[in-house]
Amino acid sequence: MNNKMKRIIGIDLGTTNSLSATVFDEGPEVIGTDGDFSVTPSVLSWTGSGWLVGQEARERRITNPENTVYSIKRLMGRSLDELSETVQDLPYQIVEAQRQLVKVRIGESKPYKEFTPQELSAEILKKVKQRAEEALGESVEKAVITVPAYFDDAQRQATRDACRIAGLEVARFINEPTAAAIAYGLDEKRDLQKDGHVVVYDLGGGTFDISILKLSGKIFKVVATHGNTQLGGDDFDQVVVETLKDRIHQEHPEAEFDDPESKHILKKTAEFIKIKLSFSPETDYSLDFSKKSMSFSGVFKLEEFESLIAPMIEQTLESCRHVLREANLSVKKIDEVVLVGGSTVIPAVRKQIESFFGRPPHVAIDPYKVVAIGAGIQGHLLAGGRRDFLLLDVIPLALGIETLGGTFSKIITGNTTIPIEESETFTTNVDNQTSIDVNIFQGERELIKDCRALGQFKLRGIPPMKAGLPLVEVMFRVDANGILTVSAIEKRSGKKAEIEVIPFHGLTQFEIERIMEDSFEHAVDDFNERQLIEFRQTAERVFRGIEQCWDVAENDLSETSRDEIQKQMDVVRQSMKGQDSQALKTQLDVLGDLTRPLADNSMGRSILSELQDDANLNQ
Amino acid sequence: MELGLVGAPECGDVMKLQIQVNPETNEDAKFKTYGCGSAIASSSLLTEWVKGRHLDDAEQIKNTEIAEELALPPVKIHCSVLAEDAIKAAIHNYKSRKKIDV
Amino acid sequence: MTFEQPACQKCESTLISHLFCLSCNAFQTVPPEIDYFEVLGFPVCFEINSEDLEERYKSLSLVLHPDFFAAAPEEEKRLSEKASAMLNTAYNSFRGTTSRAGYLLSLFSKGKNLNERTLPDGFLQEMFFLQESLDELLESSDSSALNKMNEDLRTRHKEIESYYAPLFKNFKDLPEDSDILQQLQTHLNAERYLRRLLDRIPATD
Repeated sequence: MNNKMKRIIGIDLGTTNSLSATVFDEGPEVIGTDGDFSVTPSVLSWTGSGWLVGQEARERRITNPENTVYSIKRLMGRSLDELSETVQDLPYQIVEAQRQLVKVRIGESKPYKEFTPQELSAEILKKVKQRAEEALGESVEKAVITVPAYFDDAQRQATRDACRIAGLEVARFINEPTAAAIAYGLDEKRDLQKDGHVVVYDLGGGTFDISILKLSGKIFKVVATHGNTQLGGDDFDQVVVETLKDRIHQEHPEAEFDDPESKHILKKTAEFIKIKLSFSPETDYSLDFSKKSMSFSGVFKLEEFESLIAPMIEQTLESCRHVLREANLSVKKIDEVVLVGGSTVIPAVRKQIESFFGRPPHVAIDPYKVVAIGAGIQGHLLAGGRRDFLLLDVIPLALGIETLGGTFSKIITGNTTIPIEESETFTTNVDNQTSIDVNIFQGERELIKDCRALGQFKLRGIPPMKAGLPLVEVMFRVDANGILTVSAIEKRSGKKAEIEVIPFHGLTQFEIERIMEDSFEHAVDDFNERQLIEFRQTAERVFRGIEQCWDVAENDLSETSRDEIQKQMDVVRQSMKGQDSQALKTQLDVLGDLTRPLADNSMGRSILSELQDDANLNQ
Repeated sequence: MELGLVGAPECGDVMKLQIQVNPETNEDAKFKTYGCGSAIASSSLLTEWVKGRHLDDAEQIKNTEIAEELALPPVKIHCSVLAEDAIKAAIHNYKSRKKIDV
Repeated sequence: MTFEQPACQKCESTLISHLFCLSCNAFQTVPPEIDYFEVLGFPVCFEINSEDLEERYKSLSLVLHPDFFAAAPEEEKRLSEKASAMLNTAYNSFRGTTSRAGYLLSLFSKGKNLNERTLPDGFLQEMFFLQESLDELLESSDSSALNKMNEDLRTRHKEIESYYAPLFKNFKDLPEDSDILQQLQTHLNAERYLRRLLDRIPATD
């Protein structure tokens, strides 16, 4: 990469996991140092003064359930009404704030701490950014961020606000399935048919997308897309959770599971069952509700799991039918099927896709990484690193306005290639009227009650005239990021009408600035605290690892070496009680050096990697 | 019972309006519309308006009044035209049949 | 109507699209009422080979798209977005046989007093009848009858679309004959009613 060009990384901001990628000299790859698992779980945990993000937060799901937050992506740009079902399943508290915005509430009594999903997403982005900077050894300012293709304008705006809060400039939003298509289509090692229709089936932790692309001569043109931003691996977990609850109730009819700890334990067990059943016809499980001093164990059979998730898979196939119709294509015209997202690892999902499309799907690039890699390649293009391919994406859902009687008039239809501009002329109903209110909606249905309200636009400064005379031309512009902006001009006078945007489910400029100032003030304090907690947890992990391979140590290491390790472990324990994060880090590094022979040993390595086996099936 | 069958070529909507005339007044009106929300809203508003009205009165209903009442945007004005056309067609049919009867 | 070859405002090479000069890579200042033929650089004619259209769209996208101006000054970014939006609109309109015919008819019928609501005789009654039959079929979930109806409607739709090209050809020879345009208008109107019906039939595998 030449020096003048500023790197633009790609970030896959997932429901369950987030990761970044870029184009190195050797080609596109996920960013992460060797031995450092490059995935950041999209989990946060509140420490009282700041957030822990990623693996450390994930480990606190059981120990600190009420302060640990996950699946934030499902909350982005949504209102409490729309989330009613999701909310019941989550162990943390969600409350309604101004303009139908939701907030996550931390704390059992007043004063609560409340955070918007945008702020929480920003914390994950900061972590991903920081890890990328550490691995690359350079600062990162711009990124291509992936979003589900079926994200509407409010969800995209919310994601953009999260990036702003995190101090990241969005060079481009690209749709997740499209990013995957780029990664596949530009992979020289792959014998993917170069021209033809490719279906990308993307089932992640919380969202489902299906896109059909037409590849021809390095142009990736999205023909049609469909999806569901509230369907994913989380829902598979949830049906398992419900089954587990029923089973426990048969033995313990009194048992209740509404507390955060129980919810986390059930969720974690469900994830475990789901992962195990991807490899075997049945699995044992056990639940240990320590606070209730109740435990429960049993066997979960694959067929049961498959019949539980069958209706949800059918829902995705319904979307497949829909998108084929939109694209005016039959299944026979599809040349390739590509699978993306952690949930496509599930054999039942694969089987269904294979039988629907009548061909085995492509799975060769790691379905966890492929979206980030595509985004990294797109970032490379935007930074000027190459210009030999082009992505032409679409807006997933129609944009339009409310007309009285509650009907929805489309101004830009769904599946239109972006960027696009359309204009619509409005006039006044009353003499000397100087402003018009316009409600903007997005959706594919006839009535606005079935579409999403994006915001209200007030056209002001219309010159006073007789009713019906002013011709206010309102321009709807959707940029290459799929984000809508609106401008207006009164054509008779040539006067530009002012437009004030009042976003629903979104943050105003003022709110974003306030959040950014707040986080800057707390940044220094938080940083030491956060590091301290992170290092303490690292230490705990290292201790567990050492314990597990102590047998190996007794064979492989001299008594002196073993003594040294034991002594250093005591030193680290002392440091853990202190408040100096840097001192703890130094002592941990010493311990790391002493135990290196253990980690180098193959047995030890497998145990140390076990520690990271928490990596989830979802993305 | 009198029928008015009309269409909006702008979007392919079709509307059938039935009016019951007795003797010069619309006693009842029913509609069936295959079309978008605005077309259905226009038809529905129209039937409300013509019920109980004298034929000559009902004939005077203008699409602009419907468009204004529903605040239809310019792209949907044709839906109100559809409704106006429907009542005009139904009354026209009634009057021409009466002439034949007489 | 003749096809004028415009020149680049900067280097004076002959332009293909009025939007952008492929010789010196300069955006052109264009009036807002520029027509789709000028955007795509095709002579004003109904018949456009779909491969030519694809090729032109691709080659223009590869120079105009905002992705290639991410590091450019704001003004140029804006021009690229504007030009890409115009290109997308023109391409989308030309891709469909009916939308292309409709667009061309709107150019030809400027200043001519066409009746915009004409339909073949008895067509409206038939459409209403078909809508009602479709209601019944959808309710009965008789999939073979539904498929049959779907096929019949598609055949008729194709038939209508096959009328455009010869009529536009006639009009080329007889540009004073508004009746040809009126016939085109009638077919375009009928097409919309058929499409309305087809849109109601749900997707099958």
